Amino acid sequence: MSSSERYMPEVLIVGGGATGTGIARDLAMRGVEVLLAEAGDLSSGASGGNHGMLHSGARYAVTDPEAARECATEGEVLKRIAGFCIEDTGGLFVSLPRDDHAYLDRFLDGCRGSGVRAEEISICEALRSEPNISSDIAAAVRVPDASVDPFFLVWGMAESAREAGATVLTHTPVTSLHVKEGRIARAVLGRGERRRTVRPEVVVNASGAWCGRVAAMAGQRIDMQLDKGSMVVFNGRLVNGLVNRLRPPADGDILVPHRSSTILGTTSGPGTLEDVRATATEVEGLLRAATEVLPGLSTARTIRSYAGVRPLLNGNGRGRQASRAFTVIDHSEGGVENLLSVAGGKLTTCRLMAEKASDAVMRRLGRSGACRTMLEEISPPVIGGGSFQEEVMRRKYGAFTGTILAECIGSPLGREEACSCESVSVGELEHFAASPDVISLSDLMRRTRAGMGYCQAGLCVFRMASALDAGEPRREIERFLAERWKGISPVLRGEQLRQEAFKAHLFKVHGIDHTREG
Amino acid sequence: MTSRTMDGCIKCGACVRECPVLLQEGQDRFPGPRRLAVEGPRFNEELSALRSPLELCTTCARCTAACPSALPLPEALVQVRRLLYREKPRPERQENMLANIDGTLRTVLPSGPVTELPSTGDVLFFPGCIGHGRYPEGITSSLSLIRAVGGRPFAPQGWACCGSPLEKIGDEQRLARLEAHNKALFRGFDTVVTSCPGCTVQLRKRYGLDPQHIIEHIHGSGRLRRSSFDHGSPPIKVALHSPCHLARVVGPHTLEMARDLLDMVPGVDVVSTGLEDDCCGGGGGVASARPDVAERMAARKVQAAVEAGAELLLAPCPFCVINLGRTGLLNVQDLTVFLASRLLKAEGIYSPIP
Repeated sequence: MSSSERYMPEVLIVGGGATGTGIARDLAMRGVEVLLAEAGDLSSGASGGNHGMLHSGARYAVTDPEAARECATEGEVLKRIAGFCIEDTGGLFVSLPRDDHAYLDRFLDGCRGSGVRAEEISICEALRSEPNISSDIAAAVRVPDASVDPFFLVWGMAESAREAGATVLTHTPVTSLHVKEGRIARAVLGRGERRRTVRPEVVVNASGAWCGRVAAMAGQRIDMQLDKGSMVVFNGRLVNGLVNRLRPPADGDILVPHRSSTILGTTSGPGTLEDVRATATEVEGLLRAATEVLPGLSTARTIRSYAGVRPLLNGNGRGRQASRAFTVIDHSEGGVENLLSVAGGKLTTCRLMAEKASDAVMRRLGRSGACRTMLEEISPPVIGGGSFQEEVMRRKYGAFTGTILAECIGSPLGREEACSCESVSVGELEHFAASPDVISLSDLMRRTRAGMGYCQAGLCVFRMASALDAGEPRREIERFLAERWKGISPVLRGEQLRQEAFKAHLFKVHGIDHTREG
Repeated sequence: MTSRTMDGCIKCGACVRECPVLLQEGQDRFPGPRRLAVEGPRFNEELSALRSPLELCTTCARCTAACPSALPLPEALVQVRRLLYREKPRPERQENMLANIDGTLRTVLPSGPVTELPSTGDVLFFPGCIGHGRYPEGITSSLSLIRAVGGRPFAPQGWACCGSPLEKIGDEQRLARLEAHNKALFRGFDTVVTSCPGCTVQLRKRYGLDPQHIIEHIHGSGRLRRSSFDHGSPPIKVALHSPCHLARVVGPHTLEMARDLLDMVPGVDVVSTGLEDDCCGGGGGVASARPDVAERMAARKVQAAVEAGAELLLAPCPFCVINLGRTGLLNVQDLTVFLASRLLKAEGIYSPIP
């Protein structure tokens, strides 16, 4: 595709999260010329700040049957098409003696009603599959929950969209939408040298928490409700599958085994767009609640905390009561006929949201073409032989591993380990650092997992910086470490305190204080 | 839950720098204790790719000695082996060892004549499988030395392997069976003398006994002195190997005792090789799983001894003796064999080595 064509898309998608990349993939596979513009990096909003949970739907079986039904179907679809970034661990819902016992029946009824495959199992069987949980549990239900790596899911969808012909631009904010005679006539993207004007036939606003802001550029109003959820990351796998508390949804109910860690979440409370972070109080609350189910948690090593904001639509209840169902808003009624906004929803249902949004786009374009995202795999899980390093790569990059692997394993330097917590090679860092998508150390981390391990970039940050070739490496290193510190400081105790003290000592030699923000 | 070792690491890198197998074999073949005992076990399915490098740890415990948090890395690594070998077959030579245990309760079948042990006496001597089946002169010498310091050594009939090799390769079931068998035989004794440091450690750790290594026993008796040894022997230059399980686990005092004993022997000049503390490469199941690696590690040490001018390499451990002897570059002897050979016949109780 020549560069002049590239910027004459039929459809402009605003936002590179699970929704936006999903729509780009869907439309591109239907033969539509698509340009996706993401203001930051892929997954930099809620798509990267969630629990990493592929819902079986059970969580919503009682409170939100519609979302439960969607999750039940879509969870299985994602397992089929994006197996490379999903660990099909299964999940348990367990209740404690003090929990309301009547909830079990409502839960099982709800699951049955929304098509969630839930099966009550004996306490013995539950303890066999999860030996670390409290032996006090009063009831246990097995559900097909799974663990998903959202960074790789979104990256995989973006790559798949590109393969189908879509253009995906990261670090390209939409700076203005110009409405003329009831439609968006042009959109301005990027700043400075990268500033470009496009004249798409349809604009899809898939900017999640920023939906309201983007719509406002076209004079439209979307009443968003930002709901913050905080999470704590523990070292290693403390549970074999997901462990949920069997009670009406509350804080600290869910433990997700995620790659080399376990993630505990979440909270629910009013959120903001900027400076999203977990607080020490939230961390304490989460730990207190979850220790009831997993007693060993109180002495386990906490690595960091993080938070995300759920972009919920107002008017559907508040916080946990708000529906997780999604809506495709047609702004014709508000006076802009070629703008669609996709709001609400969940990571698990991102493919379905993309399908519905894309259907609406096709209608607007007056074109035909059926959705194929269900049929074509992004990547299946790829396993098989080789070193630990290769195995870790395959489980991260799936079918995309081939080219990356060839670059890394080809040379001794490429094979050298840059991040040993997560077994990331220098070759991987260089491969991704060469991509125009990657301009910061955070971008590099999201694509390789370098810096996500228990030392929190203590040792790999310099290797990352030399691969990236950032303009001012020291400032970029400090920025990156400050972002890490934001998540570490609320969990600073025990082993992580010793880790951070050691890092402070290491970094001091380089004149860096990693415990300072900004 | 995660182990203390997995959670306790702060990535100082001391274990990676100090690991002798990593130094010898390189990171590609052996990624070192941190990967195998700390980082790797945090993963799930990926872990099975570590099976082959896991076979290469000699459990020398140099990593633990270097670790600022003194994390028990070899024990944690052995736990990972246990997890990975639960259902899958092991390297062929380890499977042979397990077959031997199932048939005879011992890891090796004797390759030649064995040293018969008295069945009554006042010092319980635990011969160990390697000494019994592969190094009978080490048993004879230990008996001589025990007699030289006034004891009447004996071994209970039907003793079984102490279980150390099973623990190292993570076979809990057989381990429990052997321990139950031996515990019944040891009933009534609280002192046991062994010549193999692997046995000493195992008996201390798992049997609730107070075992002594033969070096501790004869040195501690205080009954050996310069006059106990033959002044007519020709002078000799020897190098002393420091067995990992003796020096690091039983305790560093054992090496001082060994030097002390050598000092008593007239004509002995102990040369320094600079690699005394390095692992011989034979422990932790490496000799059986990967003899090539065990031999490469041994060769480096033996070469250093040759270069230092040693005519004989001594090790107070039959297992190390056999592994170091594999290279054929230098004569290697158990320290007890050397000491016994230099004892004055006048002690009267010395029986020559067959």
